[in-house]
Amino acid sequence: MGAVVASAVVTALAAVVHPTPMATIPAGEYLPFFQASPGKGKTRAAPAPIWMPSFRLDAVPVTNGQFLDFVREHPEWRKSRVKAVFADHRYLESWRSDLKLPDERAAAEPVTNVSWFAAEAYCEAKGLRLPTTEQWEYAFADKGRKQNEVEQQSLDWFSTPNPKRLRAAGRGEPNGYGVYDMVGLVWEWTLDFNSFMTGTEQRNTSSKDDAAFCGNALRSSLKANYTVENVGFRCEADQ
Amino acid sequence: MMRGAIFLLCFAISLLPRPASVSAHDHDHMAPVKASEPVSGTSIYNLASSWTNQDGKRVMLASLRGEPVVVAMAYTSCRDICPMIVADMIAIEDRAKEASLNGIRFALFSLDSTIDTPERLKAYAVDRGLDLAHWALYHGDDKAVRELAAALGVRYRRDASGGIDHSAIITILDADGTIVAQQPDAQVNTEEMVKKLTALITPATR
Repeated sequence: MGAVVASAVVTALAAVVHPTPMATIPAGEYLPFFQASPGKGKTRAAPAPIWMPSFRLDAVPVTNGQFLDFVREHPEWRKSRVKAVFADHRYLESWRSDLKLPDERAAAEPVTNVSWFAAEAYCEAKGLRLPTTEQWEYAFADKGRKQNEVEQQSLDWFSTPNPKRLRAAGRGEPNGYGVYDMVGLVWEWTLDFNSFMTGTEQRNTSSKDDAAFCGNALRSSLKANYTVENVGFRCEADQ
Repeated sequence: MMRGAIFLLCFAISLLPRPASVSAHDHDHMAPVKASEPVSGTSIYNLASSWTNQDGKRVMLASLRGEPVVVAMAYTSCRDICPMIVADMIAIEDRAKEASLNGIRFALFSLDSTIDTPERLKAYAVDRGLDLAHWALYHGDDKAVRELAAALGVRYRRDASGGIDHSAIITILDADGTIVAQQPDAQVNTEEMVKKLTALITPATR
């Protein structure tokens, strides 16, 4: 897990923001964590792999430094100007002001307290978009490489309280596709974050098996203007 | 986490600006929303998405501005939940008419950007007997649907047979596009929704 080497965080270059390299995720078969519901009146078939076309994914989550560049160019996404319908009052909570990060070190840390709308706008401004949940999970699954290790990392992470301070993005070990920090640093928005249903409004789905995954509870409770202290994002580009 | 967030949601909704109480001396609040003024930060009309209505006319979301709107997302090939949503909306419409509330609009946004063409939406409206003087049905692309669903808190997902699992939520927007009430379809209380609408309609427009 990336966090294992968190102690080696180097902050000297934190203020320098490099364009994020994107990892190429090759096409392949993939067994979704969540199976689509079979449809009204139909029984669930055995899990079937789906074909995932190749795409590119930010190798690391978007940092405060990168997000600062974005709000410089797009003033409507600054703290003082953002519309409440797009981001709640905790938007960029740790930032000192519209264009001021808490400190230099923060520039290299993943941006959090960003809403889904803000994350979407950031990616769009770069000609990119948020990955779908399936794309994210496919990249995370990493062809099953080091699966036991990753599962253990996930469980460890879920059971650990949020750290006071996040470490810098991209400092751990990348997975087999060259993607960093998919587990252990921040939760990430996906394009279709709102495709997970629980509660009274749910229809046509069997939530029992869906609920097996820890993330479902978090994801199904999020609203698009929520900003949460441990939720960030990265962007995706179709090949 | 989920409970906490749901609690927060309830709390957030309770914090939304209340419709201005109307009194004879309160002329500011009685003034109808002017299209030239910027919409409030809580308004979903801040979404820049464009839609095509049942007559094939392209409109911005903000074209609904000016009157309270009862809003839902559904799709025409949906057989069980969506007719319930529409039936609930019609019940609100009927009850509002009895209460002499005029100037309320009803908007149905399709979740199915591939199948629900404007023609199909028109046929659906005619089939259901929707009064197109007060109702409008909208088709949008994936992005428009995704953003509106996000803003309204509607969750949706394609199922394996081509249908769409989705939340059935009826929302009341004030004249400026801010959410003032939301009810899941299984729990729609027509009286309460009409009360909310009554509070939004000023004597000037009644």
